[in-house]
Amino acid sequence: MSESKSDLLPGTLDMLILQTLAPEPIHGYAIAQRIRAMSDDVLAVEQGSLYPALYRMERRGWLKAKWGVSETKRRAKFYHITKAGLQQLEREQSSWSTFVEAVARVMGGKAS
Amino acid sequence: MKWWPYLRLRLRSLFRPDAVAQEIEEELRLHVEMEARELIDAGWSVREARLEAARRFGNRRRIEQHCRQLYMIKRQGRADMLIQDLRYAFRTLFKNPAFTAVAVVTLALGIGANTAVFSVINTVLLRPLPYDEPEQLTVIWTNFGRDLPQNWISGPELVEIQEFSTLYQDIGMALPFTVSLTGAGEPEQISAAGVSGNFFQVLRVEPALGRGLGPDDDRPGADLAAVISDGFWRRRFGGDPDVVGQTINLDGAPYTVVGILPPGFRIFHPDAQFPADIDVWGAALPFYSGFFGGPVTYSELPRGNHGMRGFGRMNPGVTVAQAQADMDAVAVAIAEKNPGRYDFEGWGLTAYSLHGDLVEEVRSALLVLFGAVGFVLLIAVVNVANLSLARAAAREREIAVRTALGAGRGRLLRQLLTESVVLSVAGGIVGLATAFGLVRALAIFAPDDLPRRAEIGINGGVLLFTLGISLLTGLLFGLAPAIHAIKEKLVESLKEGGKGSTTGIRGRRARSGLVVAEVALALVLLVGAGLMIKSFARLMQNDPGYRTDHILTMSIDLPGSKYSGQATTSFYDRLIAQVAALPGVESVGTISHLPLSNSYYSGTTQADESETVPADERRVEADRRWVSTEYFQTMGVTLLSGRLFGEADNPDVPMVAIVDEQFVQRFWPTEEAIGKRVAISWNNDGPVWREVVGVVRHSKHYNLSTVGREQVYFPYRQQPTNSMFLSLRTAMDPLALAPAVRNEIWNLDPDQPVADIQTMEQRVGAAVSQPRFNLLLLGGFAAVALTLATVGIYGVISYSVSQRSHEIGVRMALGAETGHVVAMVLRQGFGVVAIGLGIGTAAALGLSRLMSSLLFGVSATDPVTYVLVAAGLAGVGVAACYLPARRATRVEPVHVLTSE
Repeated sequence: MSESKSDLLPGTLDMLILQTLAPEPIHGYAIAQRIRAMSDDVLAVEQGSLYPALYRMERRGWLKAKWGVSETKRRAKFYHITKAGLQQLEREQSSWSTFVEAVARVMGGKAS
Repeated sequence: MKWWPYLRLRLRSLFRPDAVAQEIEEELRLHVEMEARELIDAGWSVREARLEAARRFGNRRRIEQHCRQLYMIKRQGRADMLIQDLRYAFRTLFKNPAFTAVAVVTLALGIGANTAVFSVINTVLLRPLPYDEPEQLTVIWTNFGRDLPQNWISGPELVEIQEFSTLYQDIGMALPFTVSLTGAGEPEQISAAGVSGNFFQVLRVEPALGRGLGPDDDRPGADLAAVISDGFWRRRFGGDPDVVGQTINLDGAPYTVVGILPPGFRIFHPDAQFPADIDVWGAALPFYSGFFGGPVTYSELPRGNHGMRGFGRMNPGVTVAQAQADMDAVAVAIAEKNPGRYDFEGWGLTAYSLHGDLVEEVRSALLVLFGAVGFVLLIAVVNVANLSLARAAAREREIAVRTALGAGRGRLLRQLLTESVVLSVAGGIVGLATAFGLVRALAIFAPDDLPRRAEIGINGGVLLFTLGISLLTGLLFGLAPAIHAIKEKLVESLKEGGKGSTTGIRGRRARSGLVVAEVALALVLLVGAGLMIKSFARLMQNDPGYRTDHILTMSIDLPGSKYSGQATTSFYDRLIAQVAALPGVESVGTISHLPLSNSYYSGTTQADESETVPADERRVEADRRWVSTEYFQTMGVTLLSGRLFGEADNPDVPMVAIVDEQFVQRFWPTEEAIGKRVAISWNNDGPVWREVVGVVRHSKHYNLSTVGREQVYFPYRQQPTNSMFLSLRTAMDPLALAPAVRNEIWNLDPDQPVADIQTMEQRVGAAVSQPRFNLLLLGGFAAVALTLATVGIYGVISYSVSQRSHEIGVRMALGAETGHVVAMVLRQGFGVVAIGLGIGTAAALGLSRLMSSLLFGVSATDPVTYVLVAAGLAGVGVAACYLPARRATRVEPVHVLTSE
């Protein structure tokens, strides 16, 4: 198991979770897995830290949680994104790309 | 942040903390287990996989705790802050006992008065009637046009209404009357009602004992069955359950008691003639069958004989408006079925909600009173706001220091509001105690005809109301000084020392606003009270058309089974002769329907000829009275022309009548009434004419304020009437004669009950009890308001003036004349009062219109009242300016100048 782990930038976890949840409601473990899979295992979330983030976002009304049955027939808590959550995702995406562009410009300038 | 998801989670964690913790635990455990399963699938050993999964997850217990905290309210911090604020509030309030006491008492007056009036409104207007699904119940009236827009229902009409209506589950009727109860014990006149067989089903009332009346009892010729009230059962039979099955004698007829109604069952009907406490209920048809001497059905009863009170239960979900539309259609159907009977202008049927119709007459009075106490509370609020504002000046330094030490504005605002809410809740608690006393007084002074008077009290709803207005009051008077305080410029307050900007232009403006509000509010209330006083005085000076002093009256209802025709006449003839012979009696008369006795009777009356009224309009619904010869002299009813009835007006001579001035006004305004003829009955040959022999003054019959219908009197000897009121005039105390008169009646017939023994003055008292109640309350509230407002206006103005004592001192030192300075202060102070007077007058002109239905003989815009009230308040304002200004000019200028 040789994984190269990279720490998340603060504040990006919310965006990743929202992004993961946008297509369909899934439970916590699946969120962690997808983030890992989508980022080709580069971004490894410390799995437990996912949950305070989920709870915080539920409190803010970006997510809604509902108990359901998982693919392995177990009771599991499913999260789905709310309208407010989608709006938040949009906001974070745009500020993220601004940030990325800025960083790219700086890094690009240094390289030349 | 959206508040709802937040609140939902918070509430859940507050009320079900265990469930929340358990769910968090479950969710996290599931995650770790899933991860472990994945690893096992990838070839890890079970034990290794579990360890690795737990490692990857991180510190589960810490995360769990973290998650829980995200749900929980930071209870500790907020609660601490609230307790701190409360402790601080109590400390400051206790440090200023005078301020606190004045504020609490002021608020208690306002909140107490509001609580008391609300408890009346809550019972009378808001609480549903004590029946099953009471909102489905309506009363049904017939409408016989202009003269008789609210009439009762006759038997055939009842059947047709039941038949044609489509939106009602059932329609029944009740007809109240009085009967003599004889047999064991003293003879007693009791109130009874004949009802249709479905009546108790319409109201959905089940007897507490025995059975109720049903359709089987209401057949012609059925056995006489009676259901009795709980009160009557306890009073007359000592609550003996064996009474069920026994017979009682009513007007000489034996009725079997079949059931006893539940305690607390009362009939609520808007008709003042319908007593709420009926003792005996019987089915109507067996009674009618006895009356008509043979079996009779509703359809066979006379169509013109209206007396039944219609009670209907609408289908579920039907509104009163829909029921009215239904009744409109029924009225059309009835008119079509009976051609010629109902083709007059205005014929119709009216459906009112039972509750709405019941409280119709008192609603506006109660709402006006509610408005009045609302004003009292507002004045109280203004007074306390003003006190707080004055105190805020003294506290400016304290607040500035606290701000400088780092207290945030929100924190300060919260703390100041906590203080005012503590104050107002204390006011509310004292107010509640006041309200308990007030409610008791209200229940005593409330007019007898106030619906559900006995139920008035303080209950949960009222307590909630009190709490609500207490909190609202606190916020209201707390907000102004609080905002004012936190807006202060910190540095200036610290620099200026004790004299901050509440003494500056902004503080003065705030206080001027309070004076304007106070003057305006007080003016509106005082105008209302003034109009009420004037109206009541007019009412009491108003001549009813008969004398009310030194008259004793009582009701005698001879049972039809024992007396009729000649027997009735001879009973009353002998009674009148014997009572007239009693020492102290000056004059005796009898009348079938005494004014102010809640007994009415009217019918279609025709005039034979008229110069002014066309032949087809010479009919009117007129009040009918049968009187003995001495009635008019006894009651002091003035004869305007012609003659009164005499001994000669007996059955052997042509029938005669006396009409009142209104009847003359209607039919013969231009011609001689004496010698004209009127008819109140018709036979095969046409009208049965009676010659008009006299014209008398109109007697106010229903109450003292309204002029009733045209009145026609007939000599009782020409048509004997069993039910009569005896009235006698004496120079002594009238009530002292009552036992002697009763004995004379029992000498003639020991089984004959005597009821409703009252002096005419007592009847007048009862008739004006509603306006007197309004006057008492409105006057009382206005007096409280005037006191509060006077204290308030004086307080505010004298405070402003004393703040200017420095300036006045300087002016005096520079040689200004005393009169000049006083005039300046007066001008400025009175300017503010004048604005208040202007706004108050405008508001009063608008608002007093709402009470015009309560006024008699005085317009809601009566200029005299307005001018007097405004002048009075202006006087208070001038005094409030003058006294402190005078004092300020008397202070030695040197003293003022050196005091700073």
